[in-house]
Amino acid sequence: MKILLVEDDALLNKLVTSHLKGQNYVVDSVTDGATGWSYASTFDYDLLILDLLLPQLDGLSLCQRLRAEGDTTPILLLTAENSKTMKIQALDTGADDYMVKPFDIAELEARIRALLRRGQGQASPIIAWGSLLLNSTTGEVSYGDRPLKLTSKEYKFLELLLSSGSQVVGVNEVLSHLWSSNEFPVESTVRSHLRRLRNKLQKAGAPSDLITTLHGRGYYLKSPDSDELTAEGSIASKALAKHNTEAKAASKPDLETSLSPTQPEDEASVESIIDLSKAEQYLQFLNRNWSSAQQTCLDKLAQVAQIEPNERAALVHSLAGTLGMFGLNDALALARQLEAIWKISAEADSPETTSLLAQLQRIIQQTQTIKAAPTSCPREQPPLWVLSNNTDFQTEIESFALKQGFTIRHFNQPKALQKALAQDSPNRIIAQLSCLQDPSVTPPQRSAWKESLGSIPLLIVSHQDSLSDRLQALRWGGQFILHSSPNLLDLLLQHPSAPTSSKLSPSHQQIKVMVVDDDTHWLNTLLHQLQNWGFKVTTLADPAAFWQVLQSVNPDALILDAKIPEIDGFELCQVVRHDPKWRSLPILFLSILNDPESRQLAFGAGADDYLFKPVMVGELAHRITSRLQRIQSLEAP
Amino acid sequence: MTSSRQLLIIDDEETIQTVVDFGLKLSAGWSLLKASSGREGITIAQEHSPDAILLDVMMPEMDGVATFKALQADGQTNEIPVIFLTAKAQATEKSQLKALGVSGVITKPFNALDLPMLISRILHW
Repeated sequence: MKILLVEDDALLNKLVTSHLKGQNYVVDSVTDGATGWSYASTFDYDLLILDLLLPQLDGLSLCQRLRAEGDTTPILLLTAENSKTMKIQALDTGADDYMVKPFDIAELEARIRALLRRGQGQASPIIAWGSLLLNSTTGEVSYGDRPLKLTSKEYKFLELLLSSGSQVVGVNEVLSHLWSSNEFPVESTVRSHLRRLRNKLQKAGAPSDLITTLHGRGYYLKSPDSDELTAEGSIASKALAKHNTEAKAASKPDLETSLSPTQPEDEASVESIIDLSKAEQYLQFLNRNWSSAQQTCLDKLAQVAQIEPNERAALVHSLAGTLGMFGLNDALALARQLEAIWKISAEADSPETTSLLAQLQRIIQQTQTIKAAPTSCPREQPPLWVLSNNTDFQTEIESFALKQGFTIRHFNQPKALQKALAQDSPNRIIAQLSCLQDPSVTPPQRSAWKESLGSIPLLIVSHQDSLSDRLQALRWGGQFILHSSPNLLDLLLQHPSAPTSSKLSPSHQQIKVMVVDDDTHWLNTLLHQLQNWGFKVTTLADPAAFWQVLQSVNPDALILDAKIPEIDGFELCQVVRHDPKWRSLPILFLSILNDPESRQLAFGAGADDYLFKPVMVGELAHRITSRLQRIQSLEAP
Repeated sequence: MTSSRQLLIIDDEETIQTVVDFGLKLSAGWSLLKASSGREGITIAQEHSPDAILLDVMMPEMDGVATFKALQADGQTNEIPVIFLTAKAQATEKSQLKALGVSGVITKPFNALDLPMLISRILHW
């Protein structure tokens, strides 16, 4: 759970922040209303705690502004003024709760928990998933009757998955929920926390795939078995009864002991946690040193024309080093391009190098201030692994990578690549489908391959666009792309988690829905009902024409039946999901199959929602629009 | 990370030395010895026995690999852990560098505030 605290009293701010952090919350804390506004309008929070009297923008105005913008995040106001008028005003402005200073920290915590539960539509502090129980009041987690000792990050990870139900949680969502906005974790950090969490769950008796990885998309909780589901109610109610008894017994909790039942952070505590003030000081330092560094860089550029051609690569290499330390990524990329050119051929000047040098000089001269310090793992230059035995293809990717400053590693065999994955992990893998078409590979071997990929995106390149090649790519856990596609190289530049298409929901009246079902009678009913709700509906009873219809309709949402003759609805969903164009398309299953396994298959295939027939059309319309809104909010810059 | 450390950086870029020095101090209170060439670095390492050495791979005259080999061959310095600093474009050689027996490789550019965390993780401090 992520909380924003806006409080100008430094001591109180520090106290509340450290206390909440000890309670497993991720906290961003700022000291004035204007910064509070920019944080609250930029990042997603589960709760906002605002002081009433703040410099620049007071708490009431901030609250008012957020509500006017349609922000529904729960807000708790803190103030020293204990007057009835003020309380009424605060609540009328849109605050959800109100506390008068000085307050009891235990009471603040209890109010926070209540607000967070309300925000999530959760009535009880206990969240149950089969035999897995999480008590958000005490921070205790158990599987069956075995307690789990989790680190704070593991706890938050699990809490996020539990509060998302069967929905897929993307890596970006995990990053933004588990780390505060001034920390810069990398994706592999998420994987390492996940690995430890899985181990602990497994030791407590949970199935190994309780937290399932959906390649390239994220993670979700596998539905509990039906036996577990029946037991879930009673486990949860027993846990709640126990919780209530204990809460009564400890009406004045001992803060020392109730602070955090979790273990101290191990490796997590040394993640790239940068204190905001240190980051600011560092940036100021870079700025103080920039003018002299700028001169050094310009001097080096001037030397290029005077030195021997074979010394040029080394000179621009050292220039690149300095530019990188100051976070000048555009200039860094230009210097690297020059380095790459001069490494290959130490010939005299070419029009290309002259133009690159001129651009580089211009950027250096025009840079007056350093706006951002570099991140230790610049996202625009991901290491890339290439699986191919075709030299033309290898050269094509290599020359592109050299220009962009990528690191490349080549593999000829899937086995060699899989072996390397145990040691190291790239940001992305590009493979030729022909390298993977080995008839001797068994399905278990393929599963092992997919498992070793984790959430590393895999692009599978083919020369022909056929359903069979798309299926093959899917079975290898990759995203299909045509070799002739003009997007091929662009895809390599994208950050793995970046959404590939930005399909923002149009106004409700224009939402285009495509429904695939072999039952024509049902299709007709749904067509009219959804039209009454203002949707533009296209129905399809024959899946053979699916791909063509999908391309020409270009829907905003897709509704699939699980069982369509001749084709498996789940596999169809996977094929759609693996095309980058449709990665964000909301896919809802509407099925008569009301069992956990089918739900599981649907979510595993990339579905966003699963509903049973018959369905109330109002419910369906609501699910479609809320899914579109969710995507919109995630894709918003 | 609370205990104070002394590191040695061997890098011919003075700007990089300055930024690393500031980042280590600010982030973890560590101190830094600076050398601009392999030879100077070896002498400082012999005199001061730093807790670890950050070594740039690409330097004129004596490069990082040659410096590392010399440090390994010297009884006074062969116990000091060495971490290579290398540009992203060269990171393909990361495994070759590791095969030499260095403790780790840190890729440039980096945010010097992250260094104590990266180094601690590499060296299990």
